[in-house]
Amino acid sequence: MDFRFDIIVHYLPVLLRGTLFTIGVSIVSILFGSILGLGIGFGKMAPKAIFRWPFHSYINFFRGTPLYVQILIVHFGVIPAFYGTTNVLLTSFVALSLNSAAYSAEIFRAGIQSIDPGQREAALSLGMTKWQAMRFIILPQAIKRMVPAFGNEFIVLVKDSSLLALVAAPEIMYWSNTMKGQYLRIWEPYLTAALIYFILTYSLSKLLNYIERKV
Amino acid sequence: MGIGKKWAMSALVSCFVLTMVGCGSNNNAAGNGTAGEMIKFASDASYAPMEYMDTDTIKGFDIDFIKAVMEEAGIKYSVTNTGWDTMLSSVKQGTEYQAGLSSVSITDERKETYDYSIPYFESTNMIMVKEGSDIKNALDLKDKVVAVQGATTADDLMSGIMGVDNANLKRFDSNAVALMELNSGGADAVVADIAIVNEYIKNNPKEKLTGIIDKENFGSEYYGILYPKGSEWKAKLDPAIKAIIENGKYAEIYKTWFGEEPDTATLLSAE
Amino acid sequence: MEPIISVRHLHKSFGAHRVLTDINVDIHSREVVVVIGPSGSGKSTFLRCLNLLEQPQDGDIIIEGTSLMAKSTRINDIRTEVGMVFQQFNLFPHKKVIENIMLAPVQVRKWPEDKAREKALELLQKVGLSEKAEMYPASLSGGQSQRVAIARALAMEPKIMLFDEPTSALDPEMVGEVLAVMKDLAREGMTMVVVTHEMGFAREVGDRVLFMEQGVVVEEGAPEQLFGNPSHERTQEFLSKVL
Repeated sequence: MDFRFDIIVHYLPVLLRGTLFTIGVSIVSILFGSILGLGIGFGKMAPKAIFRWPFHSYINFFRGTPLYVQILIVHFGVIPAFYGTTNVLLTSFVALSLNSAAYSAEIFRAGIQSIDPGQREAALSLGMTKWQAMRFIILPQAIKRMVPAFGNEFIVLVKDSSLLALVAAPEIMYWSNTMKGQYLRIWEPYLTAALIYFILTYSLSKLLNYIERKV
Repeated sequence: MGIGKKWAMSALVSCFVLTMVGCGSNNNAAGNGTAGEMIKFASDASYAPMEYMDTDTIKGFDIDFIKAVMEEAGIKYSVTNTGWDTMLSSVKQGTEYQAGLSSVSITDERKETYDYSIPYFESTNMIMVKEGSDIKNALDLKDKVVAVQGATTADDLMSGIMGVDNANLKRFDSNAVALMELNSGGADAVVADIAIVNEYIKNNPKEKLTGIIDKENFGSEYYGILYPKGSEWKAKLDPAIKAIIENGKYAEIYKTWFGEEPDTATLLSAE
Repeated sequence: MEPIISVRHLHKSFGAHRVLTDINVDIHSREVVVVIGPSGSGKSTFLRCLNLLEQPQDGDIIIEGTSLMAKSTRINDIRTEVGMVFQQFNLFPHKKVIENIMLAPVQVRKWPEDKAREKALELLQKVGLSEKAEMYPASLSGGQSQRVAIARALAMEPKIMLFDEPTSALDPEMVGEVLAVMKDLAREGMTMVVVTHEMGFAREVGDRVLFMEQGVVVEEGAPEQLFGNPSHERTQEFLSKVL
């Protein structure tokens, strides 16, 4: 198979910029996604079913529909409704954060519910409030258990961000598509993109291993 | 588990089976050729009116055109909607599909990897803006936000005018999404093939859009059938293409799709 | 004298299953009350109602004149005065032994760190585990864990201590060290409610023994009376099995 490194070299500068975009969007989205997800996760653990319902629906919607469609809805529906026109940067942050929040919520919920109820009872029996028990006893233990699942979610998010090419977000896949269009060759752009994603996710998993050992 | 559940289950299974059958029968129309040989075309049928799917049938100008060509050549053929990427990689290999038929513009960069037939279609790109826009020609687009379908000649042209890494040039997966971006206010203009733009304006009169032709900056471009390098099919089919352009068959098809006479003299002298 | 704990007509059920039926018990300051009975008799649930880890359906619990069932009562304030020791110790595994003990005094009582540390070290010495202060709970034996758990509860300087089968999860050779700490505590005058299967402890340390079965208090009395001359047939039957 002939493989043209010259066209990869030609596209390297924009691919690197695309990589920075991908990294930026992924980091912002995992941060906002986790914060939002924490809230939704708690919401889903509400004692009364009527309060759980909205959070339950949120998670079902975002886990049960394709990110592809969510991106289109956010780009052409949600963002124009609030911002007036489409805006690809906002779409990128909002779509990925909302999607990631649904998965984070489940990670939080599972993590928190995996802690022995005796831990909470011991904290409460010492006179701690529910919030103190959560903050000092349950969360520190739960987060430790959540780290691997969160790592997974982060890696999935990095790869999923490639779907943003759909609305012309200038990320890695977008520039690969551009390369493909210019030369009508598919292996150079796609394998290059795959390699970049691999480097990103591999470094990430190494970093997460390190964090896992630390916490 | 009641009747309802069983019914839903069998409905689901039926849908699945129907889908599979749909895939299998894959849109191929056999020609009248008698020889044992056969050519299989791959296409990305998402480019109305050139090639598109009408539910499970592939239709469009290119499809009628190739039918005439293959009748002229007397060779069996089929056209399959494979999507763009599969078409590119499989035509490059030339084993499963021997040619690509998908309004592929002939450019020098692409010729490094593929062979092309003689030109079979003259096209130009066109600018589409909302009525009342201050954009008058292609150079006005330099500082505007422009939406195009990526991997098209519109993309090439605008990359030339605006710069390949200009963030204001937004490349979408399809013209449908690019046009939506224009409607949602995310772009000032869409650049696309004339046939696409006219079709869209015709179908969406409520959106108050106008097309701008700029012959000076958007020169003519030509579509060709895509072959792997060194393909023997080029020599077999080029004469048939030439023949139907010369004998009026081509103009007939052109008129049914675009309602006007083609400039066949320019087409034949191109290349 | 006013009882420190007064339980009135207490009812508790889990769904359709009745666990406690009309419990009435008074416990006085400095008294050691031992609750015995077969598994599933409701004795642990009764104990857990005393600091509202279980919410009763009906009746009232009054601790030092405050009704736990009153809307205005802040249960956290009550719990600072009522320590609890669990069958499974429930030490906080992510915190060192000393941090386990200091946490509640610092966060709930708002003691300064120094004061809490001093108290924690004093209690560790009392339960004989001074050298374990900087260890994590995972490195402790069961008996050591339970002694730390007792120290942790005592650090809040509670007026009442509840023990929920504190020796049931221990290997036999470790039961003694935990009971020894509890005996010391009783001798110092701590008000204690102890759910246990240790009949020896009940007889030796208890001021009063309650025998529960199927959610009701079948019989209560001084240990020598209850063990020596049980008046109720079911009590006799139970004691004949465990003694």
